[in-house]
Amino acid sequence: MKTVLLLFAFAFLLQYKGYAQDGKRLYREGVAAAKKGEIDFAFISFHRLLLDFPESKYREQALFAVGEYYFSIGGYNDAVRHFTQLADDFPQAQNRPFALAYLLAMAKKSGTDDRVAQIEKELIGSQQLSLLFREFKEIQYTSALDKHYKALNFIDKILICVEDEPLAEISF
Amino acid sequence: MSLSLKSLSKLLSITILVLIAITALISILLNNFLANSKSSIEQEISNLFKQKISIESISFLPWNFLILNNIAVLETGQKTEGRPVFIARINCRFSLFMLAAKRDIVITAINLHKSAFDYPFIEENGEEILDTLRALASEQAIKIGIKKAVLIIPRQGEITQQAILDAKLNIIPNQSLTSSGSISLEDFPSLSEQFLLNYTCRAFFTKEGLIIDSLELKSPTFQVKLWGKFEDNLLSINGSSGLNSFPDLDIHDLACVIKLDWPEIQVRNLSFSLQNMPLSLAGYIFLSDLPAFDLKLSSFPRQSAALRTGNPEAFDIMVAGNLKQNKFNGTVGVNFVRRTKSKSSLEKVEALLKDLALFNTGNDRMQLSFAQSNLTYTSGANAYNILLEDFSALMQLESEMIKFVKISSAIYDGILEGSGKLDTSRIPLNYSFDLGISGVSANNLHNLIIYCSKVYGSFSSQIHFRSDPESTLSGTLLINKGILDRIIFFEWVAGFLTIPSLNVVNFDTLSAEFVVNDRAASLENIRLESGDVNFEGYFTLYENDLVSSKLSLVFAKEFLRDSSKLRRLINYLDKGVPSVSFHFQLSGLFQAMNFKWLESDFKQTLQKLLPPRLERKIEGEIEKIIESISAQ
Repeated sequence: MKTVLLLFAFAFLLQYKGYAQDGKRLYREGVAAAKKGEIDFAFISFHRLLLDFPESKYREQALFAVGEYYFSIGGYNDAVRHFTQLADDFPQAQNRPFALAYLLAMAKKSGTDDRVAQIEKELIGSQQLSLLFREFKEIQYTSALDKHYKALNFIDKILICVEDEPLAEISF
Repeated sequence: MSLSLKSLSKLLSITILVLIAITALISILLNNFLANSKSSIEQEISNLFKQKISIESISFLPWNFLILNNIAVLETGQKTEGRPVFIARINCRFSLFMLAAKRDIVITAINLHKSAFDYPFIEENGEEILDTLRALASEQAIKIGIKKAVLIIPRQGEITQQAILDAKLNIIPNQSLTSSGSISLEDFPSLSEQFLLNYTCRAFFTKEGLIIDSLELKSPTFQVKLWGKFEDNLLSINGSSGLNSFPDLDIHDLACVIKLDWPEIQVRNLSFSLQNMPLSLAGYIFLSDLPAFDLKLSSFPRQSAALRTGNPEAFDIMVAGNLKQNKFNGTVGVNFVRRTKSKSSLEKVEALLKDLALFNTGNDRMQLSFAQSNLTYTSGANAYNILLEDFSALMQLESEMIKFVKISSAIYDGILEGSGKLDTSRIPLNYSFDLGISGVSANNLHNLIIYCSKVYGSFSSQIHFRSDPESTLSGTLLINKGILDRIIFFEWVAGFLTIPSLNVVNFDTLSAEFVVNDRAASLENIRLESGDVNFEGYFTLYENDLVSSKLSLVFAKEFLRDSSKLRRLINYLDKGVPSVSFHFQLSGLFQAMNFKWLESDFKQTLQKLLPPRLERKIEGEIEKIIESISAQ
């Protein structure tokens, strides 16, 4: 009897561990696919992660990756939805300035001046700088889709690049 | 034939002579009777009106006139002394038919000539006067005429103002009431010239009250047409009005419901349309010994709160207070929508006033004064407050289009003086003013300028405001012999240089120029002179809460020896250099400003000496200091 109970407990724990691993497993699958250049398959993994594991600790990176993907295929409405969710749910996230940069680019495309001003103000206020000996402060981020981002915060401007190409520039 | 005519003529003459003789006899007898009965008639009338009445003489004039001469009310009431009422002559016509048939003297017409009334007497005895009118008109139609009746309104000291009334009133009991006449006001404090108002009124009695078929008021400057009803103390009126000089300011769709419950007048709703703008007035007026009112005028009253916030023409004007000795004590407030390029916000100006008076000083001048006013301007979550005392504004009104005003006031422990101009030639009105403030303790202004809570010294300023082409406030300020106590920038610098004494800076002078408009508020040419520290620069805060600023500090080299960080580094400076400059740039959000140390000789010298690792360490420490100060 004891043995049976132990066997059941072991099987249950195995299942639980497997369940917990699936969120991580999807994330790792996505990252691996992105590194191979299989961006569509990477998107599927991250998208499924968001649907099946809404409490996953990889949700922040998944939201960014899915937003990136939608932006790259011109799915701006979906991109806005995911980047906005990231910005709202993760106010301290390292990738938040880059999500705001995408939102800024899309707001400029759609010509909504009020929204552009609002996002610019959020970007400017996202970090308080003190520059004594440096001319700028740099933040770097590599997304789950394996894209490299860089934000250069000067005293009177912010320059955000993706793969060394300008994504957003704000002067103030 | 001729004989017959002659006889007829003779008969007629005799008849006329007899009639004249009878008339004369009756007149003599009646006048004798009236002369003898004067005292008792006086007493009867006194009892009727519950006032002591004096009549110089009463006489009869054929066939149905009674003439009363020099009638006066002699009662000394609460507010009245001497003769509150004097009438030179009253002509009364009575009904011969009623006299013959019922042996009753029924007055059918009363005409007053050259009368004078004290307003306080009318105020005290209004009910009794109305009751008398009702009694006179209860059974028989009556006509009342008033010629040149003077209503005397006491003002400050010996000064009085007069309203002169000429009126005719015809009342047919249970049927109709018609009246017409004119009122002219002379030497009224708020009027620059004589004011004349003509009126006509036609009304019909109903079981419930009165239907006002037409009430028209006309003056050289405006006309009003009204109609409605008066039932159960409720006056319901509709109408329209217009200003002759300004046809654009005609009032349309006037509708009001007023409850008259003496001494209270409740304006339940007075709505009208002015230049296609719907307006509504509601509130209370108390016409008691201490007249008081609580009224609110609103534009677009039916619009929801959300829509009103976006409507630049939406406003409320509230006035609540009382009139004591012709001075207003109470609150005046205005809610309005202020629109800039980027946003729309609800704002409010409120003045708590003590002894506000407005009076005509003659020569087309008017003076507005008050003993004290607490003025508050609220914009969103920010409130700005200032206290003024012994305020006086002298307005020159001779020009029709341009009005000038000279202002003087005490402001805390200092003085405010200046002048203003109002251009009424177009709407919106165009106005400007130039003011000077001197001798105010800067700290007293902390409810107006929040940073003044950390500033001490003697404050003076020249202020200019223009409303056209855009609202712009500009000027200069100067503070002498003062202290800056924990201003955030100096706290940063104190932390940066590790010189704690910089948290509190004593200075000889602090001066700046300022410009404030819808887009930004900026301080330019800031200059602070203190023994060991001089400071200059500019600081601009934009309407989106972003900052742009460059500030420079110059320290005496010896002063920097107080810094534990810089003490040793000072020795590396050229001995011939007496001072050290630091230049900073600020940017970003006002609540969390970015801070950059700009290039200078000292910085270059320091960078040559410091290894990169130490530079990063110092940067990290300063970052923490700045973040912690900003978080306070």
